[in-house]
Amino acid sequence: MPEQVFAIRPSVRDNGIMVIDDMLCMHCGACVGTCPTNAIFLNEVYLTFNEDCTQCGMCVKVCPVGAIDYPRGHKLHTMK
Amino acid sequence: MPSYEYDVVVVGAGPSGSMTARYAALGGCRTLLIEKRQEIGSPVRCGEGLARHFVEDTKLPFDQKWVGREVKGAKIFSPNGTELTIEEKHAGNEVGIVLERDAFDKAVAKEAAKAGAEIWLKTTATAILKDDGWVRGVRGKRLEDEFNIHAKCVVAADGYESQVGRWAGFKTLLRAGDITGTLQYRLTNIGPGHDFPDYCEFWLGTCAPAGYIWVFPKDEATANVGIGVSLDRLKSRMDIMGFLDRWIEKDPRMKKAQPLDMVTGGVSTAPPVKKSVGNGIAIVGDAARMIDPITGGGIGNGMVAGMFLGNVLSKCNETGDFSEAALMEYENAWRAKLEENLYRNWLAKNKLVTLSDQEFDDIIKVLAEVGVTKLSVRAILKVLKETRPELVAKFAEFI
Repeated sequence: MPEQVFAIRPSVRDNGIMVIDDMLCMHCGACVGTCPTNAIFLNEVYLTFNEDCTQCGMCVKVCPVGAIDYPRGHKLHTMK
Repeated sequence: MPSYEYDVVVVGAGPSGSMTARYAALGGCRTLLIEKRQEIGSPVRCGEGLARHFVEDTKLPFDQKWVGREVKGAKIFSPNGTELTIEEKHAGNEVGIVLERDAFDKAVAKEAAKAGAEIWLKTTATAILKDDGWVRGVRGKRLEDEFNIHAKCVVAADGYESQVGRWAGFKTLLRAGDITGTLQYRLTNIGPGHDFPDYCEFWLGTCAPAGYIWVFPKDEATANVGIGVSLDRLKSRMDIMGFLDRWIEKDPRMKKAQPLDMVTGGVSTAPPVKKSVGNGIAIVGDAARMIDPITGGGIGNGMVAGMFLGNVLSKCNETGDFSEAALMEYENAWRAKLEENLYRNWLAKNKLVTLSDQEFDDIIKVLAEVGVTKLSVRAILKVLKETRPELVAKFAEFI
């Protein structure tokens, strides 16, 4: 019988605006300073997006570890 | 809601914020320095290169504790591997000491404390208090307590994120071409070659589009190996990491290297902000986009500006006038010292990013043959104009 895996990336949060992988995020703030609409908030170690986000994708590209992605269902979503 | 009163509240205990707090406190201001992290200087978000003269310029007591390694100079590599060596006495603004940044930031904060500033850790600024065109303080949160910190002047030293300044209405937004995403590994077990570990290395070309890869030695076998890539050259998630990993794979010295830590961050490569002061507020350091747009170095400039700001705040405190007009003395001082160089380097950067690998190869080859006695954009262009003017046609306006 093949091995079964139950927990798949429990670190990923999707609020429908953008997706954040908390285990990848380094909390460095590169996305916060980059965001043109100031829609990203970083409370020390917890990143959130609000509705000011325009899904421009600058944060997706600037994040050095790839911790940010478009939400599930978005055509540019790439996280597995 | 509880409330506290200070003359000056500084948001962010990096080198700029701590240096501002130090000089403000030395001048008699009741100064509070707040830092959102639980530890000053950690986690490190920096390549850790600093030119020696900034330490003397800001009268920071020298301490071997924050020196990782002292280097002899810099080496610049073109895409085909041509090597240009520049010895220390000519190596411009950013080379000299490779810091232990966590210890360094603590050392600057210690000086602030010694001067009389109070330091609160784990304290986040969550909002700014405004009244009638004036900034009157910040809303703060420490552990589970929320409170207002009223101050005659708020200093926004919150780094690349530059949130406090934005809340106050400063334009600190950046164009994609003026943003660099960075990733660095501290690698150990690095093999010999290219005189490692005596020089800070800069690798140019398409290995790091519109940016560069750096190797800053920390000890005999260890170095900060990092990359900066301009945001407008990035196409998708994880691109930055891909560029760095591919370069490390190709360098034979890195074959058996292993990582000790990983550092990420955003770096502005923009011209300095148009305005850095308002009624009851000033912005300093990375928050004011004082990073050198070519090297990406910001520690020295931030500390120098912090020293100016602390001194001006002390004067303001004597007269009780923290208006925009009074704080302009700070703006004039940092512009006189830094602006011309920042602006010129920003213009030069915008040209540099258009060079092809072939052009980098040609330029570095000429410079290596002729020899460079001074690492400044202007000096290099002058050498090139005399030897191979066609190589620097793009830069005619700077020569």
